[in-house]
Amino acid sequence: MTRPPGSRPTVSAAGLALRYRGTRAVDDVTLRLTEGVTGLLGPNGAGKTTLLRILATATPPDNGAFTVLGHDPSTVRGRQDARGALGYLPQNPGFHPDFTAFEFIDYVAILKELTDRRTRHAEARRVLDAVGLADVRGKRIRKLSGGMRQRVALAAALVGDPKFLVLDEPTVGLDPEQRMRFRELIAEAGEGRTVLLSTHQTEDVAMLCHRVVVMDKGRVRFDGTAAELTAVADGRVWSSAERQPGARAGWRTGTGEFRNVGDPPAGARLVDPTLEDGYLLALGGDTPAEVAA
Amino acid sequence: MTAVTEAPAVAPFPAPTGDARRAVLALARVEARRLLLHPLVLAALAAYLTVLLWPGGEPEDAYPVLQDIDRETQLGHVLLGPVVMIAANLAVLRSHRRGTDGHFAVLVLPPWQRTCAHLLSVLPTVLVTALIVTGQFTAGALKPGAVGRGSVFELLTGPLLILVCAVLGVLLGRVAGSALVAPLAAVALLAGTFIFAASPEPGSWLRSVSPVVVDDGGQPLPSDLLGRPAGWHALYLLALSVLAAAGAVLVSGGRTRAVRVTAVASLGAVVATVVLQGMAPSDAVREAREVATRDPAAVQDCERRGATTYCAFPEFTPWIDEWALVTDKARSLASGPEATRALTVRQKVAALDGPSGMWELSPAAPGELTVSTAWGGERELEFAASVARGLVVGHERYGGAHCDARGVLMVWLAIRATRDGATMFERTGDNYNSPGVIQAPVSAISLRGREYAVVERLLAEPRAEVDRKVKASWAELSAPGTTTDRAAALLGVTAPAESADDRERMCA
Repeated sequence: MTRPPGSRPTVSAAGLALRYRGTRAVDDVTLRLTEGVTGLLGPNGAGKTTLLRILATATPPDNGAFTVLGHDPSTVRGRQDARGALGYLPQNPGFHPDFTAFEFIDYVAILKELTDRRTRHAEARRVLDAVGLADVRGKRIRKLSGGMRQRVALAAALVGDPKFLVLDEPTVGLDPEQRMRFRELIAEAGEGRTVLLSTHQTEDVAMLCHRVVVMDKGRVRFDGTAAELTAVADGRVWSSAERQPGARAGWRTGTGEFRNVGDPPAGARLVDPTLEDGYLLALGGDTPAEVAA
Repeated sequence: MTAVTEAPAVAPFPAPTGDARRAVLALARVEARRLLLHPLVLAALAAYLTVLLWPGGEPEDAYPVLQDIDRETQLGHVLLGPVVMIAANLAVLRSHRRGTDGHFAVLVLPPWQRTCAHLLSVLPTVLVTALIVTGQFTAGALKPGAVGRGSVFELLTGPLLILVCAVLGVLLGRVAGSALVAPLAAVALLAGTFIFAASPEPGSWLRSVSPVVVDDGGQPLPSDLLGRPAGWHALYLLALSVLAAAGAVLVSGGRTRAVRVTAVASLGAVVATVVLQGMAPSDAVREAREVATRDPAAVQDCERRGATTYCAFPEFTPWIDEWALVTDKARSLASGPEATRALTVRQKVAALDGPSGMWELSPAAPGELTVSTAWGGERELEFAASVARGLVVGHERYGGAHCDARGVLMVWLAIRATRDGATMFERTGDNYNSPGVIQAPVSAISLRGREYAVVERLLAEPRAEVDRKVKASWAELSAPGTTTDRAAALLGVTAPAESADDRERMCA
């Protein structure tokens, strides 16, 4: 049973900025996250990972401030407290291949300062159970499939029952079945927690997120509900026999007709928009054509 | 669609304790287990133990001198240390090598405390090596023939060397992110050890900074004459470990006042212990060496057994029984007044330059024999040769090869008075590149090829029969001027003709 997302902000950021290799990777980002799953969408290089790293306290911002569950990570004490309350699944999580899944999670638990051995082991078993890896917890990670490893990484992020979960493209490289499994796990994780999910998959966002943030070129382009993002494309998606010159993006669908997103000509045959249409439009006028090609 | 695994009911999980110290200990336990079970470490320990426990060994091993045995425990650690260094380094670099840095960076335990855990994790491995050292030394000390006294500091050197290497492995992991650095450092450490350790100059600072101080002298010395700065060297290794550990913690961000003070204090201790090692040996040790070398009687315990008086440095008196067995056997084969000639067997050392000094002893006065500070195997044959010379010619001076009946007689006595003397005599050619030379403690007994051949022929005869003939013909065999041909005839064998080589040898 799902709980309705909370409305009290758990993570607040104001004016976050970070330059990386001469570009503004994150540029004046202000956010207020609440309980539930928030999707972070954006093209490659939009600054999603950088923003996630800042919020996960892995990288300090050049400017701006943020709090995680009331802790201010700009102070040593606050950073430690914030880290104690968050779980992070990085974009390319590494593994210790000669550890078993259990040993790896136990190791992470120690680094999270869960010091009582029995409690820690119980927690390692709990999170491995939660991600469906109870049966393989004694297996060396090198012998696990890619999907299983990704679940180990999610289990590592869940250790200690963090109230803020930062997931950076957790479903990349997974097959559809594994992605489905992951969606379930993330949906479960979002109950009673604040989950920030960075992804390229608009379907994931549509299915999981009560709220969507779209980023491009380091800035927030959209911040609202999934329905609101879809609504951005209301009256701006139409079908035609040929690709329309006024379309910002267009592609031939399975029916043989073109689906166009942009500013429709008069008399165009409008169709119902999807969240992806809204996302494309939210990215603005310089949306890369390849996004929809 | 994938079947959904329902998440188990979850009890509210207790918040992290925030007890970083306990987390450090928990991490140290995990890392300690992994370090001990690391294939490199396991293989090195297994190889080390195999060498130690391999059956066999030399007869001399039954008579260990404990002040030497303690040092012998160190050499294996010179090879074990670099292996532990590499394994500890790999453990520190694991997260970097496996790409978990990004994830682990946001976990609560700060990097410097993780470094502390890695530093603590090496201690069980050090403890294991300490147990091996203890076992190795105890096995030596429990042998019935063991004499002397080991030094705790010498025994600590091996495990401390492992500690230094392991801590350096951790430091290198924090300073350089490459797994290639530690193997290079290990090679450099090995090379440095052998170069520094080869420096024979006592007091040289190169010896002091070397992981082990090697003293490869000719014979063991009484423990109070060693003058090795074992205590300072052990402290040096400990201080070096603490310095490297403090460096690793500082590099990892643990720039607390306590760590800085520890770093400075340990640096001071390293410098001080290097200097103090260079000041050894003390004046008291130098004086003791002088006395032991020039006037050993002043510090020896003597014991009279029949016509023989045995004088030994106090630590070596348990060997008097062994010496007496040889002397009594040699006397039992002799006849006439020589069989009961009064002899003093005195233990001698050349200790002026310490344990690495040249080993050269001057001949004792007539009626005195020299016994060394080593025993067992060939040392027995050498002592027996010395006793035989004492009985037959009465002095230890070397005047050349024995080209007559007395040479044959002395070597026969030496062989018969020694356990397995014949085998050892036949091996003299392997050991000294010249068959028929027995390296007695002061001067060798040397046979020419002709006399050697006679002894070989005697060894092919029934021993008791030859013994009987020796006793019966003792007066003639032991008289100066009795020829080799005559000795052979008296003993029932023939002597080969004199070769060109024989004619070139200088005879006593």
